Amino acid sequence: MKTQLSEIFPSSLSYSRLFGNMDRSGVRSTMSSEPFDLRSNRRLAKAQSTGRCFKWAQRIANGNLIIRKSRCAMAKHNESTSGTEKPAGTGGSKPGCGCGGGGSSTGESTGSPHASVSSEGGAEGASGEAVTMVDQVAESFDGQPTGGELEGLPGFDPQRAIGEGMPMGILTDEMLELGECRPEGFEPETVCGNDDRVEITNTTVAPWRSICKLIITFPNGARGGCTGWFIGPKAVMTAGHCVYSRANGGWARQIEVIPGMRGATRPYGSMVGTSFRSVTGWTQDSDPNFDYGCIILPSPTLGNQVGYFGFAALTDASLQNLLVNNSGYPGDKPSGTQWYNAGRITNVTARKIYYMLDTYGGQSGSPTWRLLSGQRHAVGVHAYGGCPNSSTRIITAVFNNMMTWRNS
Amino acid sequence: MDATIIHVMESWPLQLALLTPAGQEHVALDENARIHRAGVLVDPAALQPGQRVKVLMLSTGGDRTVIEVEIFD
Repeated sequence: MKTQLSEIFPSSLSYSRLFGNMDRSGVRSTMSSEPFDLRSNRRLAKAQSTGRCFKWAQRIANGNLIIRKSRCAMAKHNESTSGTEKPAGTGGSKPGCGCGGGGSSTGESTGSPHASVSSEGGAEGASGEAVTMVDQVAESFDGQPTGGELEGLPGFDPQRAIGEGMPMGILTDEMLELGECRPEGFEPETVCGNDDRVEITNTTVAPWRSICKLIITFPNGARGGCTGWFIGPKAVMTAGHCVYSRANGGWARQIEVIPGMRGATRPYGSMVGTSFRSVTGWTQDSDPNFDYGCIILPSPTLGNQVGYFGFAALTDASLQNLLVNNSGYPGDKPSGTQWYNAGRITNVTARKIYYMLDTYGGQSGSPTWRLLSGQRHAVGVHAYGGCPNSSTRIITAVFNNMMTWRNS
Repeated sequence: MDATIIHVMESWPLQLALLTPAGQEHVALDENARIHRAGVLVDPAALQPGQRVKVLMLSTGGDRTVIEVEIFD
């Protein structure tokens, strides 16, 4: 996903092509706003006044250059909020600091299509949809990304997970013949191929206790179920259509969050949230590429007790063929039970990741995560069925919004 | 209503993005919605993007939910 220099800058300008530095936490440090070139500053000002997109280079404090885009490009990651809380990060615009190449860029101009929209009124900053040129992680991460690992759960067949969705070129004859063993009348479902989901029987250990059953009450009175996962003491990540449902009248009225639910047992109790976050790409445009949201709970008690996931915006190369894990609360299993599955990512697009993991209705909002050397980082938010099933990919803009929500 | 399924959102009950003659529409299945294919009752998970369907909806006080879907192959 590298951006060629010649596509960005006119030939009359000469800029070095460098990528910004990442600190050990994986989050870009605050950039100096010193313009690299007066001409670029004037061009930016002109672009801002006309609302046109403009790409320019900015020298950051350590002398490196990063490539920035003006804010007009990435409208749909404008944050939307609901509930009674004043949205976090509300502030004035930062001229010339639009859709940057990574890093926190919230608090951007509300005129940008990325400016956040709140159901409470007011607006938050826009998160730029810069190309993910380097992996971003929400916490320290050491080592080089490899193929990911599976959670070592008894009863789960790792060979099937590793084999499903592999590129045709490396499938063995034996694997191909498995397709012929399907029973008569086999119907493709969101359980892709054989159902090799396993139940999480001990939901009081990490990471299962951070994964929550969501019981949703929509404005039209309808009740629904989804899955969520803690990303911070008060923040529970889920799918956009779980917090904002066009089919059910818009923002949820309330969502009960039950971490580590197991059947009828609620080992940590529950908490009701009435303040939600999403982005305008979902709430206004119903664009499935922007189907993600968050529940902001009134208290950090629950999140601090059960812990929360890390998350990462990985490059295409890091995601392709990656082994990922998923767990959630499917509606076809006994009520309140959490079920796990794993497999490889089979396709990566700019905003979505696809896989043959077995999922079912109720698992919308569940985390799709990479396990590597004991570290877990979500890379997507499961949202859609259809074999391959898919997650909203955590890209830079999503990452930035999640960081804001985590710190709410 | 005749439509084509664009997306299947995996909440429970499912939510569907449909392409109808009037444009795109989001609908939610009733938790007891019945899904048929060739006259046979099938699991809601059989709903897939790209399928042509006939959807029967129930209106209650201005709100509509899908109570029946017929899948056409």
